[in-house]
Amino acid sequence: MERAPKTQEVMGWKVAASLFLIATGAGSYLIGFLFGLIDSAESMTLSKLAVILGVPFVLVGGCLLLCDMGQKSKFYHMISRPGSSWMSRGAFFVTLFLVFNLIHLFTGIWPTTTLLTYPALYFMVGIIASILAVLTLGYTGFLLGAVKAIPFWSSSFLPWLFLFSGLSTGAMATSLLFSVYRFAGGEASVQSLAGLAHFNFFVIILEAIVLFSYLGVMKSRGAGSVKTLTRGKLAKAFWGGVVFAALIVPFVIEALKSFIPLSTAPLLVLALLGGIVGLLGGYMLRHVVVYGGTRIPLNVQGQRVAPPPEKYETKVIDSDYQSFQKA
Amino acid sequence: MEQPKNATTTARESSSKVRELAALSKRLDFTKKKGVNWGTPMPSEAKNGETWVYGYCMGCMQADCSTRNFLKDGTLVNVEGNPDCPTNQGKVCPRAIAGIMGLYNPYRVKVPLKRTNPEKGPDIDPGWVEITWEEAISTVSERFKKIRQEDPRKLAVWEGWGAPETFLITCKEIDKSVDYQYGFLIWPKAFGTPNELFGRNLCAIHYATNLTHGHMPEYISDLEHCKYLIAPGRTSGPNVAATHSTKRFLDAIERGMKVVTLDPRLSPEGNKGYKWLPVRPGTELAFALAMIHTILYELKKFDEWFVKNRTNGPYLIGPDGHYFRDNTTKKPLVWDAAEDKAKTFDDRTVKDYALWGEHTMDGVKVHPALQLIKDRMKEYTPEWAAKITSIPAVTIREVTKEFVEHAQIGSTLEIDGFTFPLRPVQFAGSGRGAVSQRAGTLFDLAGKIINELMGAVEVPGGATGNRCPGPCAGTLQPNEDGVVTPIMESIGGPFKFPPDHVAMNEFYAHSHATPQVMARVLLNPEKYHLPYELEAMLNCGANSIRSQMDRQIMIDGFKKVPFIVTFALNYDETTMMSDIVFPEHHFMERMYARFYLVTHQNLDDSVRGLTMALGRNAVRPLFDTRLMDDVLIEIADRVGFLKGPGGINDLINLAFQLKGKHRLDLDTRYTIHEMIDRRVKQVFGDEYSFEYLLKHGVLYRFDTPGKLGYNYYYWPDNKTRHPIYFDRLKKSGEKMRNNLEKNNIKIPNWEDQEEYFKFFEPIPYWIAGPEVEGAPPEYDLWICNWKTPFMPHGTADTQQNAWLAELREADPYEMFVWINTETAGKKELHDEEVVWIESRWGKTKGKLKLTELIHPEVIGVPACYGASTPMMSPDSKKGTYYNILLTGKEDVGMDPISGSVTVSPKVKVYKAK
Amino acid sequence: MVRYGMVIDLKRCLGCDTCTMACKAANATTRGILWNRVLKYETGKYPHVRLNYLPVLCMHCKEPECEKVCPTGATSKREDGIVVVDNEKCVGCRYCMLACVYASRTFYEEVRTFYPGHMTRFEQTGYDRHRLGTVEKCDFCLERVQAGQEPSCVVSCTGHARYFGNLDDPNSEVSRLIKERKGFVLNPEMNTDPSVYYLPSESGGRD
Repeated sequence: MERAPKTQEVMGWKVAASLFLIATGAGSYLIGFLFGLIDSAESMTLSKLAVILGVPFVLVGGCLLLCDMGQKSKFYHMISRPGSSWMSRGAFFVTLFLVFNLIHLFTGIWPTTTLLTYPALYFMVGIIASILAVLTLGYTGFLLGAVKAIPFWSSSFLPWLFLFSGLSTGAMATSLLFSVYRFAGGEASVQSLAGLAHFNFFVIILEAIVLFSYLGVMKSRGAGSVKTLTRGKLAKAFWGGVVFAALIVPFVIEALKSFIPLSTAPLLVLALLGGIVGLLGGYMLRHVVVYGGTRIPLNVQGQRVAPPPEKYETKVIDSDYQSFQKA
Repeated sequence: MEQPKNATTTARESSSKVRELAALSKRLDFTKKKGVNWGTPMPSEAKNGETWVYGYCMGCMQADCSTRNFLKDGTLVNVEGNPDCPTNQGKVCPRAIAGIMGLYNPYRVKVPLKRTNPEKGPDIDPGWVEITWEEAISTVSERFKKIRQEDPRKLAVWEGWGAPETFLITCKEIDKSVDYQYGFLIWPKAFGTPNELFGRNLCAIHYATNLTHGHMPEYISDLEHCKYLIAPGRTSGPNVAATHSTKRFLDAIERGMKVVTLDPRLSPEGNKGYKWLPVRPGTELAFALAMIHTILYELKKFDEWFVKNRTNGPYLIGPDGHYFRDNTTKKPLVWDAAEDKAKTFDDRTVKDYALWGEHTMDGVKVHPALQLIKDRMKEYTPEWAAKITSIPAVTIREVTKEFVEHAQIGSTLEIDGFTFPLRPVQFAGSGRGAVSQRAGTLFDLAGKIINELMGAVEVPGGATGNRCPGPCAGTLQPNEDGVVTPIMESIGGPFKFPPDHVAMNEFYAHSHATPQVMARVLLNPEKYHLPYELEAMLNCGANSIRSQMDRQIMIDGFKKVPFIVTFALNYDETTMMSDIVFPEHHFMERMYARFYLVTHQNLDDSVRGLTMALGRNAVRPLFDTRLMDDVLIEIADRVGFLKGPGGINDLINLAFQLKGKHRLDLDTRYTIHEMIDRRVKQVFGDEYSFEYLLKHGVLYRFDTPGKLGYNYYYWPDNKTRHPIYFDRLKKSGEKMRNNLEKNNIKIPNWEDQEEYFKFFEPIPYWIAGPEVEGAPPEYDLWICNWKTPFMPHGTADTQQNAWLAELREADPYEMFVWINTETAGKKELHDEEVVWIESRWGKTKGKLKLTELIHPEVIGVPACYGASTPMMSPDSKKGTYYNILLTGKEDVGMDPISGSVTVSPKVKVYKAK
Repeated sequence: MVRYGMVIDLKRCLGCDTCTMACKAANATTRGILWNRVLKYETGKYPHVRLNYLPVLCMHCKEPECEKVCPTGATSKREDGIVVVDNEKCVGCRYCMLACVYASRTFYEEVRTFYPGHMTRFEQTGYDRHRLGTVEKCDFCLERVQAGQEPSCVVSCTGHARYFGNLDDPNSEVSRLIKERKGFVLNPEMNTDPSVYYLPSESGGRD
C-alpha cells in the first residue's frame, strides 16, 4: 500500500452535524436544569432559555440524522435493538430526552408553568431529563466506539470528550441566545452569564485535557487518523476549527467573561462572539472525528491490504488521441 | 532407428497427481465416455415463466464454451457454464455473463439503414434513413451482381472476430485434410473475388507453425506433461480468462509445471509462474538467438537423435544456401559420417548423419545445415543479448540450462502401449506480443529451432499442434524432400502481375493479412500497380479503422470505395462509413452451431482428440435484425453464385466434408440450419440432428484420445522431418526477386528494397528494426499492449458492454497507463496523473498507474479502449486508445513475411495540461 | 448442524473477475454496487514483485459486528450461518457498513442504469428485488442454496478456485481443504470468526 489509507466515507457532514446539534441541545438542557436549581431570579431567565434551546437543537439534529437515512419512513424500526445496538439505544435516549424536554418546556415554561408549582414533580422531570441528557451526550462516543473496524473511534475518552463538548457548546448556545434576547430588548441580569462563563471555563479545560489525552493515546492505535487531523487533509479543520474555535477562543472569552468585571454591552458582545465561534468549533470537533475515522486494513496472513472502497467512484478519463500519419 | 532410452514413465503415473487433485475438488473427467455423448436435455417448457436453454458464448474468438442461458418471462437473466461440456466444464469467463448486457445494449443497430449524407467519416452524421430489408438486400444484390459481371475483384470482403462462427465467411471450418493446403473463405470464393481481407494483422503468427508443423494457427503447449514452459509475449489462457485453457494451465501449475514468462510486464500467468524475465519489447529475437547459442556452444547438449532423424539439420547445404541435391534423383543429400560419404536423405543405409563439418562434393563446399546454423549463432552470446534485451546474461544461461535439463532428452513415455519420446518442455514462441514485431517471424522460427534442438516437437510434453491429429490430416506428411509439407501461409500465394489482390498478397505472399497496405493501395492504386479500382466492400465482423493502425489512412482509404455494406452490431467506425447497414443479431439471438477447434493456447488429455459440436438456442431477437448467413445466402442466390459448381453449396460440401446422402444438392437452396443439420449427421451419425444438438447443448466423441492424439504416432521415428533450416523462406525471397525482375518493378513503397529481402534468409538472425535502433533519443520509453479478461478483442462489443465497463472501471489496473514507479519518480510523474503518450506516429492520452509490475523502460496500456464514434455509448469513449501510436508503413513497421506490424513502438511521456 | 462456508483458493485465483460478474448477473445489482470484488495489490519491488488477488465478499461471520450494531434488526444471522439483510426493516442508516471489518456491505442509494437514461429489460426484471435506500450485500445466493445449488460465484469461477459447503462437517470438501491446505481467514484478530476461508497462494518459485 503506497499511499495513506483513505478515511471512511460512509458517514458525512449530516451525521457530524446531527451529533453536534443533538449534543448541544442536550448540553443546553442540562445547563438549563442545573441553573434552574439555583434559586435566583437572575438565573431563571438563563435557565428557561437553555431549556427552550434543547428542543430545536435536538429536533433539527434528529431530522438531519433522519435525512441521512435511506429509508426514512421506516425510522420507527430504529428502537428495535437496544440490547445490542448503540444506535438503537441512542434512538431511545434521544427520543425520551426530547419527550421529557418538551414536558419540561410545555408544563414549566410555556404555555403554562404548572410544573413549577409541584417542586417534587418538577425535580423528578428534571432529573430524568438530565439523566437522559447525559446519556444523549455520552452515547455517541459509544456509538462510534462500537465500530471495531475504526480504531480511532475506540476510546473511553470519546464519550467524555463529547460530554464535555456538548456541555460547552450548550453553554455557548445559551450564552448566544441570552445575548440575542438582551439585544432584542429582553429583561435579564447578566450576572448569570458570568456564572455560566465561569462554569464553561472549567468545562473547556476538561475538554482540552480529554482531547489531547485522546489524541495522545491514538498516536499508536489510530496513527493514520491522528496524522490526518494534525498534518493531513483535516489539519485546517482541526487546528482552526477545533483547537482554535472550540478551545482557545472560547477559553479566552469565557475567562474574560468570568474573571474580568465587564459592563453589560461588552459582556453581551463577547457572549455573542464566543457563542458563534464556539458553536462552529463544536461542529468541527464532530467533523474531524467523524471524517478522520480510518478503517483498519484487511489482514491477509500478516499482509496489510486496503479494504474495498465504500463509495462508488470512477477515475477513468475520456479518451483523446491524434494521428500524425498521412498516406 | 531407435533413440536411447534413459527414463520411461507411463502416462498414468504422470497424470495421477492431476486426477487426485481433480477428485479432491470434484473436477470432471469426460474422457472415459466412449462413443457419442450429449448433454442433459434442456427443459422443454418454461415453469412459472422461468426456463433455461443451451447456448455457447462468443465473447472471444474461440466460441467453445457451452452455456446454459436462463430466461425469466423471456428476459435473459443469467448465464452459467454447461457442466456437461468437456471444454469449459461448467465454467465461464466474465464476457460470457456480460453477454446479457450486450444483448440489451440500447446502442445496437436495430433496423436496416441507408446513408443519405455523401460525406463519410466515423464522426460525421451519415444521415441514416431506415429502409426495409427488401430494399437493403435488393440494392446490395443488384450492385454486387453488376460487379461480378464486370470484374469480381472489385468487391472486397472483410472478415473479423465479430463473426468467427459464421460458416460462410470464416475458413476455420475447413478442418481435417480437405484443402488444408490453402484455406479460403466460402462466400468470397464462390463470388469469385480474391479480395478476402482480414482485420487482424496484429496477430499474424502463423507462418512459422504452418511451415515447421504443418499446423494452423500456431503450435500449442501439451500441458498434460509439460514441465518447463517458456512463454514469450503470450498467454496460455489465464491472461484473458480463456475458460478451459485457464483450468488446464492451473492444473499444470499444481502438478508442478514451471513457467518462465518473457514479457515486459508481469502478467497474471507470469505471476503464477516460476520466473519472470522482464524484456524490452521487440528484442525477444535476441533472447532466442542467445538460447540457441548457449545450447550449441556452451551446454553442447541437444537431442541429437531428433535433429538427425526428424529434422533437415543433417541436410547438406550448398554455397547457394539451398539443399545440395543428388545429380540424378535431385533428392537432398546428407553426409554419412560412418562411411564418410554423401547419401540421399531417404537412404536407409545411413548409419550416422553428420551434423557438423565441411565437405567437398564435385568441387563444391557443402555443410550440414546444423553447422551453418551453429556458425550463424556464434556472435549471439548471452552477453550480446543482455545488452539488447536487458535480461542479464547469467539469467539467460540459467534458463537455458534449466530448459535443457527439463527436456529429459532420451526419455520416453508409454501411452496406450506405444512408446513416445518424452520431452516435457516448450518454447512457446508464437505469442503476438513477441511475434508482432519487425522481425517477429524470425523470432518465431528461432523458437522452433529451440524446440527442435530439444526434440520437443509433436511429442508428449512438447510443442504440439494437435489441431487435426491423425493420418487423415496429412499433418507432418513429408513432401518430396522428406520434410513436413508446409501449409497455408508458408506455401505462399502465387505471384501475379499486375496484382489481383487489393492488399498486395502478391508482394506479401506469406502474409496473414495486410490491411494497412490495402488502405495505402486504395489511396494510390497506380503506385501499387493495381489495375482496377475497388467498387465495394462487404464488412462481416471487422472494424479495421479501430483495431488496426493508421487510423486516418484507413479512413481515407475507405472513403475511396463508393459502396460499403456492413453487417453491424453497433455503430462503430466501419458502420458509420457504410452506405447500407444490415443490422445483425447479437450472438445470443443467433440459433447456430459451432464445431469445436482446439484452442490457441494449450491442451491436455481432458480435450485431446475431442470432436464436438455446440448448439445455441436463440433468445427471441429484440430488433429487426437477421442472421448474417441468411442474408448472405439470399444475396448469393440473387447474384447467382449460391448454386451450381463452384457455388456456395459446392464449397460447403467441401468444407463440411459432406459425403453421400449428406451432400447438398448443388441446385437446391438450403438454409444455414439445414446445412448445419447435415454436418451434424455427417460427423456424429444419422440418429443425431441440429435439433438434437440444440436440445442437448453438446454432442461429442473422443475420436483420437491418448496416443492417437499425438501426430508423432502417425509419423514416428524417422518417418518425417521438421525444417530446422528454412530453405523455403530463402526460396520465397529469391522467387520474389525473379518476379520483380521479370516485370521490371519494385516492391511498392519500400525505399530500400534490400530492407524487404533481408528477412528472407534460411537461418534467423538479429534484425533490430526501426523502433529498436532508429527512434530519436527523446523517445526514451517503449510501450506495450496486452489483452485482458475484459477485452481480449472487440468481439461481442466488449468495448460498449456496460457490465464489463463497470468492472474495468473498478479495476485498479485496467484503465490506466502502467509506468514503473522508479521511472515515474525520475520523470517527476505521479500516480493518477494525466499524460500524453507520443510515438512518432501518433499520440494518445492516459492516466498513470505507478507500479512495480513493469520493466522500467517500458510503459503499458491494456486492451484497446477509447476509440469510438458519436453514436456509441459514453463508456466506449473512455480510456486510452493504443493503436494510434503504431504505423503500418511497409518499410518502417512491417514484417514483410507475415504482414504483421511492430506493435511496441518507442514513445515519450509528458504531462497533459 | 449446517454452517455454510466458502473456501477460495488463492493459488488458483487469477483475478479474472468472473465471480464479480456472476454475482452481478445473479443478483441484478445496480451499476456501482459490487457484492463480490477482487482486490488486486502488489507486494515487493521490481523485479521481485508479486501481484496478489483477493476476492472479498461478505464473510458471513459467526460473530457478526453488523448484527450487533444494527438498530432495526434488519441484519440477522440465520441458523445455517448465512447473514442476511431484511430490506423491509432496513432504514439505511449504514451503521453496519462502518462496523463491518471487511467493508463488504454496499448502500443502494440511487438507481444507476448501466446505459445512461435507459433501463434494460434485465434491469427492469432485476431491480425489483432491491429496495432503494437500504444496505445490501452478498447472501451466499440464499435462494439458490435453499434449492440445493451453490452460490453463483462458486459455480462460475473460471479457475475452479471457489468451494462451498458445510464447515461443521469435518468430511466436507471445504473442511478438508481448510485442514489440508492450512486455510486462513482475514483479520482473525478481530474475532469475527468468518465463514470464508482462503487457501494460501504459493509463489511458484518466484520470490
